[in-house]
Formats: sequence, C-alpha cells, structure tokens
Amino acid sequence: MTTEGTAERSIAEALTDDADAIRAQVDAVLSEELHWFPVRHHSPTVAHAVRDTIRARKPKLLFLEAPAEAQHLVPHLADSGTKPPIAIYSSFRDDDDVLGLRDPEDDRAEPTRIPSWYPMTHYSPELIAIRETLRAGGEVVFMDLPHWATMVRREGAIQEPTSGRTVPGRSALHELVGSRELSERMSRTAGHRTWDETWDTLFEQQRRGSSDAIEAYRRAIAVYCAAIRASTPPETLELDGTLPRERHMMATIDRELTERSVDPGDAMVVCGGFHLFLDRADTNAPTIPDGTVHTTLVPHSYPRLGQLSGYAAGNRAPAWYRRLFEGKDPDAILLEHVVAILGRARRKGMRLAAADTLAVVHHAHLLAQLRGRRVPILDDVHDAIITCCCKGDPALEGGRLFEAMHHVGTGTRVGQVAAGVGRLPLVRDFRSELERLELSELVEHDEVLKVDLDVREPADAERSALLHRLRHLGAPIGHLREKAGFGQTLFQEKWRLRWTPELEPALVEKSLLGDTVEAAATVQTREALDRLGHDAGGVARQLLDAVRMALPTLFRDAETQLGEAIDHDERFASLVDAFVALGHLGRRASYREGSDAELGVLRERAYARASFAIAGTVALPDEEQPAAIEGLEALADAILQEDALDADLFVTNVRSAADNTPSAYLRGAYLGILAEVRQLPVDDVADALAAHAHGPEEVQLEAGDFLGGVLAVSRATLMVGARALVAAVDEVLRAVQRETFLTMAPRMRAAIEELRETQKNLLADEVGRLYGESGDDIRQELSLSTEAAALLSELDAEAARIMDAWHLGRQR
Amino acid sequence: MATKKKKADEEESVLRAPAEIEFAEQIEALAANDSDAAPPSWKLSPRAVLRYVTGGETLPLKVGKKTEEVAITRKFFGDDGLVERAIVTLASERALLLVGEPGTGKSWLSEHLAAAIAGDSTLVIQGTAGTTEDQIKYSWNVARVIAEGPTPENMIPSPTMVAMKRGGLLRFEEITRCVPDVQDALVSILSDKAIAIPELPGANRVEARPGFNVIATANSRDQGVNDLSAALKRRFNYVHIPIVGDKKTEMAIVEQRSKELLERYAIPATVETPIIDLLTTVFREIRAGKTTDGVSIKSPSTTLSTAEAIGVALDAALHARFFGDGKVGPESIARQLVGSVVKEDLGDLKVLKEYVALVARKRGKGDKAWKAFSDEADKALR
Repeated sequence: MTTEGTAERSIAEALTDDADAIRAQVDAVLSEELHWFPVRHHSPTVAHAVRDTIRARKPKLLFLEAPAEAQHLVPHLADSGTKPPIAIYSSFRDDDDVLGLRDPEDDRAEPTRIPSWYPMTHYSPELIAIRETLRAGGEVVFMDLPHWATMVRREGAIQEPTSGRTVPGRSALHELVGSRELSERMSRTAGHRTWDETWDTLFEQQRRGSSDAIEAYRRAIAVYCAAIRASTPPETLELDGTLPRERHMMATIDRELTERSVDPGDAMVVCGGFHLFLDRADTNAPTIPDGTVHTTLVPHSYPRLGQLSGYAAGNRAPAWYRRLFEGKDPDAILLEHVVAILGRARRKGMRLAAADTLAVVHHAHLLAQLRGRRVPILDDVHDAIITCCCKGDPALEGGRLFEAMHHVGTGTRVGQVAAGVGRLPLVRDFRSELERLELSELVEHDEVLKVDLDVREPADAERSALLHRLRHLGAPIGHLREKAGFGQTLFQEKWRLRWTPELEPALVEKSLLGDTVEAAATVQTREALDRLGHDAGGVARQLLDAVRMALPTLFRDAETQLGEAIDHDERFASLVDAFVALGHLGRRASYREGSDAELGVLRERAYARASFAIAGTVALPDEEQPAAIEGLEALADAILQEDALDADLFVTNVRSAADNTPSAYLRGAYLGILAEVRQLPVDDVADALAAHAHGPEEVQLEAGDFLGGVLAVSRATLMVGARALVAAVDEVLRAVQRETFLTMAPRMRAAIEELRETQKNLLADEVGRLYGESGDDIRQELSLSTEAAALLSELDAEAARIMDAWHLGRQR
Repeated sequence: MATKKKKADEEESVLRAPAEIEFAEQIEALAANDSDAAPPSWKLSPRAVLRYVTGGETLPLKVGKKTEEVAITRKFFGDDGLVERAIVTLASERALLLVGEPGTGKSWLSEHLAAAIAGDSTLVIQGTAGTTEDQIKYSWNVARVIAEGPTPENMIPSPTMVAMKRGGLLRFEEITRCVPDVQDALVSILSDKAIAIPELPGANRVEARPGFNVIATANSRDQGVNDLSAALKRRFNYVHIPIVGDKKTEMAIVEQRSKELLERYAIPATVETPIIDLLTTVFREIRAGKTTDGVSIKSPSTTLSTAEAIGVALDAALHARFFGDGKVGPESIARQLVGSVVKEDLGDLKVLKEYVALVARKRGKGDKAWKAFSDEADKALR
C-alpha cells in the first residue's frame, strides 16, 4: 500500500458517513481545467510536490494564497539574496476608524494599528511556488484578502486581537485541524499520540517520484481537506472571515484570467486545501478598508516557526523538516539529526558514546517498522533517544535530552532580506549601528545573546546607549537585569538580548520619528516629556533615560522641565520617584561628567516637596497605600544615609500625618517609620499597639491593621523591639472577645506572613520566651482537631485574600 | 485442542499459571493471523506482540474443523508507545530495563512480553541482596562433581543459561536489589552474549542463540541503593513505567484485574463500577495530595499504586464473600483501606484520618456511598 493510499484509507475510516460524497466533490475539483494544489504551510513533502508539479505544468499564471497587498514583494521573495526564514510584514493604521475598533469613549486614543506577519521558510510550498513559477517564466498573483479587511465588524463576527499576529495559519491545514473531531478520530484510529504524528505518517513519507504518485498525493490531501470542510459548520466560515477571503480569491482568479487572457489550463492555484472547495460562483469580493498600509519583507526565525512559540500554523521542529526537505537519503538525515542531538546533550554534560548513536538509529528504524512507517519520523527518533539514552524517569532524568531535541529540532537560524527590498532609513541605521558596534550577532540567531557592558569603556558606553535607545523605542531586544545581586554595579550592565520577528517591524512603526535610532529616540522622549507636563516622577524617569541613552541636548531640556514639575506636582509618590531618579542620575553624573550641581539642587527640592506632600497621604485609598509606604521607606533610607538632608522636615510631617490619619494601617506605618529613623522609641510604638486592647470593640478591631502598618515598614524596629511588640500583641489578644479576634486575626496573620523568614523566627523566639517555650516549639506544626484545622484554613484563606490585595496595590 | 486441554489441566492444578499458559489461546490466535516476519526465535512478530499486549480485537482461530473467535484482551493499560519501545528494545542489541514505582505493572508487562515473544515467561531470577553470581551464570551438583569431576552433565544451568541456549528471554526481577558485583556478572553476558565455563576444558563456553535477551525490572524507590554501574547501564535501554495518569484508565485496570482475580479465586462476586470509582478516587486523591475539588491534603509515605487498589478491591470482595453478605460496598473498601495506606509509617494513619474527616465526611453529606465509606472508615480508624 502506498503512503497516499494509506492516507485516503485512513481518512475514509475516520469518516462516519458521506465518504462517497466527499470523494465526488474532490473528483470534481481535481478534474477542473484550472489546476488546484492544496497545501499545508511549512510541509517539506508538499513543497516537493508543488515544485515537481510546477516544473511539469509550467503555469503561465500562478494564484497563491498570500496577502494581496504584498504583490510588489514577489520579485524580492524570489531574489536569491532573500534567505529564509523571512516574513511578509503588513502594518495597517486605521486612520479614520473604518473598522470601528477604536474606543469611542477615549478621544485621545491612537488610531488602531493592525500588524500581521506571513512567514515563509525554505520548505514553505508558497515560497517554492513563487520561485519555481518565476524560474519557469510564469507570473504569480497574490490572491488573498488583506488581513485587516477580515476585521470589519460584522454581526456576531469573531473579532481578533489588534495587537498583531502571525497570520499564515488562517487557512493552514494545521490550524484548521487543531480542534477538529475528524483529525482526532484519525489519530485515535491509527493509534497515534498526536495529530502531528498522524500527519507525518500519512503525508510526509512520500517518495519523490512519478506524476501519478504526485497526483495521488494531491488527491489524498484534497480528500482530507474536503472532509475537514464538510465537518465545519457553515456559519463559522462567514464569522471567522473565511468566506469574505474566498470571495476575494475567486474574484481575483476570474478577473486576472480574463484581463490577461490566460486559459485556465495554463494557470494553477496553490492554496490551503480548505479553500479548494470554495464557491466558484460567489465572487462578491468585500471592499478593502482605506488606511495607511506599509508592507515589506522582514527576517523571521526558526524558533518563531515552531509551535512552541505560539504560532498556530507552526510546525514542531523547523530545522528537522528542513533536513527532510533538503536531504536525499533518509538514513543520512536521521544519522545527522541524531548525531547533532547527542552532540549537544554531550556538551551539556551527558555521557553518551558513539554506541548510543548507533543504538538510537537502529531503535528508530525498528520503531518505525513496528509502527508501519516507511522511514522513521520525528516521534520515532525522539522515542528512540529517550529509550536508549535516558537512564530513568524521563521527567526527572531527561531534561538535557529534551532540551537538545528541542534545540536541534527547532534551530536558531534567522533569515535575511535581499538588499533590494526598500528598507526604511531607521531600519538601515539600526543595522549599521549593530555592525559598527559589533552587535550583529543579535540579528543572526534567534537565541539568547548575553552582553555584559562596562559603561566606563567608550565602546561599551556606545553599545549601552544604543540598547537603551532601542528599548526606549519599544523595540523588543531582550532585557537588562535591573536588580542588584548579579554582579551588576553602577558601571556594569548585563543584557540578555534576543532577536524577535517583531524587532524590525517595531522600528518600522517608529520610522516617522526619525531616520536614525538616536533621532527617533530623541523625538519620542520629547513627545513623552510634552505629555508628562508636571508629572515629576515621570519626567525624572525620562531624564534618567535620556542619560542612559546618551542624549545630552535632551537632558538639559528635561532638567528644566523637571524643576517646574517638582514645584507643581503635589503627589507624594511621584515626588519620591523624582527624588529617587535624581539620586541615580547624580551617581551616574559623578563618574561621567563630574558632579552636576543643578541635579543636587533639584534633588533637595524634590525631597522637601515630598516631605510636605506626606500630609496628602493620610487618607489614601487602600490600593494607593503600598506606593506611599514604599515612598516613606525610600525617604527614611535617604535621611539615615545622608546628613545633608533635613531630617526634621521629614519627621515633623510624618508625626503630623500619624496624628491626622483616619487609617490604623497608615498610623502604624507612620509610627513604624519614625521608629526606623530613631525618632520614636520602639516601646512607644508597642504601647500604641497595646492601647487597642483597652478601647471599645471598633478600636480593638483596628489592632491588626495597625500591626500590619508597623510591620510593613519595620526592619531595625523588629530587631530591637520584637519583645515589646509581641507583648503588646499578647495584651490585645487577651483583651478581645472571640468574634473580634476572628475578625482581626486574618489581617494580623497576613502582616506577619509578609515578613522575611528571619524576622518571623525572631518573633517566634519572642513568643516562645513569653510562654516559656523555645522558638522551635512555636515553629513546629500544630496538632489540631479537625474543626480547628478547618477554622484555621478559613483564616488562612482570608489572610491570603488580604495579601493579594496588598500586592495588587503594590503592582499599581 | 492440545493447548486448551493443557490450559484446563494447568488451571485445575495450579493457583496461577504463567501467562503463556493462561493466555495460550490468544497467543495461538495471534500466531495464526500473523502476517509479519518474526525475528529469530520469536514466537510472534513484533507487531503481533504489540497486539497481544494492547489487545482490543477479536481474531479467528481454527480449532479442529471449527473456527472460533478469540478475543485478545488488553494486558497493559497506559501509553502504547511505551510498549512499542520495550518490544523494539528486545529485538535490538540492548537489554530492557523496566523501571518505575512499585505496583505500576513492570513485572506484569515483563511476564507478558516474555510469554508472547519467547513462549516462556518462567526463566526468572529474583534479585535480592543474597543473589549470587552462580544464580546468574551456573552452579554445580557438588556431590557429582566430587564423584565425577566437572562435566557438562554435572553443571546446573541458571535461567540465564537456559535462555541463552534456547534464544529465549531471561527475566531479572528487581535487579537493583542485587549488590553491584553480582549485577556486573551480566555485563559480559550482555556484551559477549556468552558465558565462559573455565571448569570445562573441552566445552568452556555457552553461546547465546539469536533471540536471547534480558528483561530486567527495577523499583525507582530503590534508586541509589544499588545503582547499576555505568557499564551495565549502557547495555540496557530504560523504559520508565509511570503511575497511571488518568482516572478512566486506572478504573479500567482495577475493574479488569479484580474481575480476573475474582475468577481465579472462584469468588462469586463482582465489584461494581461505582465502587471502583470510589476506590480509585480515594487512591488518586491521597496519592496526589489534592482532591478533585482542589483541597490540599497530606500524602502518605507509601506509593498507593494501582496494584494496591486492585488488592483492596480483592480483599474487600473476599471479606464480603466470607464475612458479609457477598456484596462489595463502600464500607468493605473502607475496612481494607487502612492496611493499604498505613504500612511502615504510622504517621500515615493521620493522613488517612485527615482524608476521612476533611473530604469523605463532607461528601457523605450528599452521597450515600461516601457516607457509608466515611462511617466505616471512622470505625476502622478508631
């Protein structure tokens, strides 16, 4: 039985009825004068079949399911300088809100932007079709509806996210079959674990050969696609945009054949198999909405073609399928792949010998034979590797092997776009800057590139400036480790960079801002400063960014603006942000350009304004309290370290706030802060807590909040005052009734739970001392009755809810 | 038919016949319908072995002039891919090591593979701390050696040697219980496929016939006790048998195996599906440390394997048959559960108590079966 015969039989077995009707439908389409070839994206065997068909038929005109707006890119796709993987990138800006996606409530909302990517790799049947057709002297017409045109609001339509997506899966077999019952049934019937295994078994085992074999293969795919289409509810086709697209495709085919006077027998259609069965009579193509459109070719990568990247039409191992496409001898392909995987696992520390390679290859062949396959597929290879090389539970021992299989199977290659493709000046500048600063590796491989910079070195300082500028422009280049603890100092930056397909498109989107990365970053920062006005924290952050981006002219303007903002902004958290950012700036200035007196003055002003603004924090809503507390801690740290700051100003305002706040939590925090800066004895804080014991019930209930506030800011206070605080808590707990206790307990518990382990141990030791036990006794697990355990569990759940609310506030 | 008669005879005289006897009819039907080539010395082709283990079909078998339909039952529940890997390993140069938690069916699978491939699952070495190299290779009839000297007739071949001579399969159970020196006796057997007998000058080597291989099993809980040496590890392909992942499969295993065991013990009782459901739910929840409705509970130190669940079902049926009304209810399960959960660690008693108090009793408020279960468990745990 041939592979294609097996495929058709397998489909027929999975069909519950109407197998004959489906066959008749397929016969009708395949016997049309116009030659329709159904494809699956990124399938090496389909690509071979398409190539052989085009070579045999030499079509004058080839209709391809590719976005119509990219028609002008056909020559560039065929250019030998374009090295896959690449993607057609389209960006649509809905200037007049034709799609109706803009928020009507927001007058200042930017026009909706709809970016989309259409990736192609070495073995994409579409790319092969373009290159082969042009080589044979034919022409290619992109016949698909632009992506944004499918997003016109329709009653009940499926609206897709506007944040951008990779679209070639719109008609891709793979995406269509993802949840289809038929495919699942086929896999189940064949005893396969996944649909990928079924596809590879049925459709990627084809020997290259005669035209009869290719025709049988075309038929098998068509039968499968017809079955999928038959099992798709008709209403879905309208709502998911399939029918408008098909109308556009059919209208394009009709129009182009007529206008160019090409006989259908001299033309060919290459499209997702699903569309083979579109309604030939329905050519009522939808209107394409007007807007600003930019379409170009951008590099893409193997990891982004992989399914794990979230790309719906991706395949599971792009580099493996490339081997299959380019290799001739299946044994050599298998051996090469296994050697590469075992080699990587070896480099990761596994002890694997040449004998293991042989065992894997032999095992894969035997598995394929047992499973009824002509040659091993990826599942057989992976199973063989795990069986022969993993000495234990794969979940525990197979980590390095799985990593190697994924890495080698996926590859890291990033494509290149031919020089002839019009690159925008900003993108050109980006590329040339990368080259000048020896960072080109970033755009050559889709894998993490570690870059450690010492900004005291002139070359590294330039690299740092470029990376900060790109980051500021929103270009996804990776991240900078911001936290200390990774060997990072004021002078050192540790970047973890990674190419993404969105990188160049992000720059394309910013191209209106300027022709160079520096110019675009400057304009964007100026625009941000204009928007920020008197937002002291925001302006200070922009100022800090300007320094990181090495934009000195901008720095002076921002500095002036910050002075005004500090004087006008009355928000405590914003002023503290400005104060902190100015601290960073001062330290950077001290090694770069010598001390900057103006920065020092600004910082003092920010400190003073922030201190006065503490009065405005006394009645903050719960969700804003964590930010205020962080601000208080930042100022407290500063006055403990810097004598030059006017500590009395801060203390006076905190005292006043403690007297005036209606919130027990904030009062606890204010008093805790005063204790931290040694302006209030810890015993006084403990007394204030203990005083709750003697008040009416509503005052008693606030004890948990008060303690929460104290502990939220306590560091030194806990070290020296744990005993007094524990005694105060004991006094409160002894005084309250059971119901009051149950109400206040969760908040107290949450406050203690927020402490670090050492702080909790400190408190436990004090509790132990108070009750004549050791700290260890207190820490051990309680033996409880079931009822007590249930009650404790409820209290814990409430405490967890309170902690969640605190963390949410902090995130804001 | 001779096979049938043999089976009937065996069934009358032994408590548990080896798989090749118990399932002789199925093996015969598969052989009769096997169109693929079998490797040397194999009774069935690899694909037929797979069909034997995974079951799910009915095959015609000619018995005299009649044709009977023989149902091939499923022997191993779980990932078929894992069985495929095991079969392929046995057809390759390497030996097979089935590794996993206790009660996951390693020995069961090993026995069935040996039965289907070699037609003999009885060539077994049970690994213990006291296993010696002699038991792996060969020993001597000492009295006769004293009288006659070492001759081939005076040698007592080990199961390994028998398997080598026949081109059969040696089953080595719990290999990691053996001390490393003894384990290493296998290295030369697996590489040279021969055993040297220096005591016999004229015939000092037994060479394996094609088809010879080894299926070993090892308990992952024993890991680190007597790990295989690097040299031996390289000669084995490991196939890890996981604990059954989904409830549906686990229920199917408990249901089928308890039915088979009840038949073997001639107990006229069945464990109904709702009871199997309750039993597997309890096992799965305690094993996972989490209930289906998301409540976290403690886990015991024991594995609580599917085999344990089968044991509980069987014990409950025996108890119901001899001390009850013959009907296996939730209370019978509850009574037997304590012994399964609480083995070495008395702390596990607390685990079970917590489960009954926090989970079973709560469910018992709206469900009769769970109420009966929790009431009886309370009594048993007092």
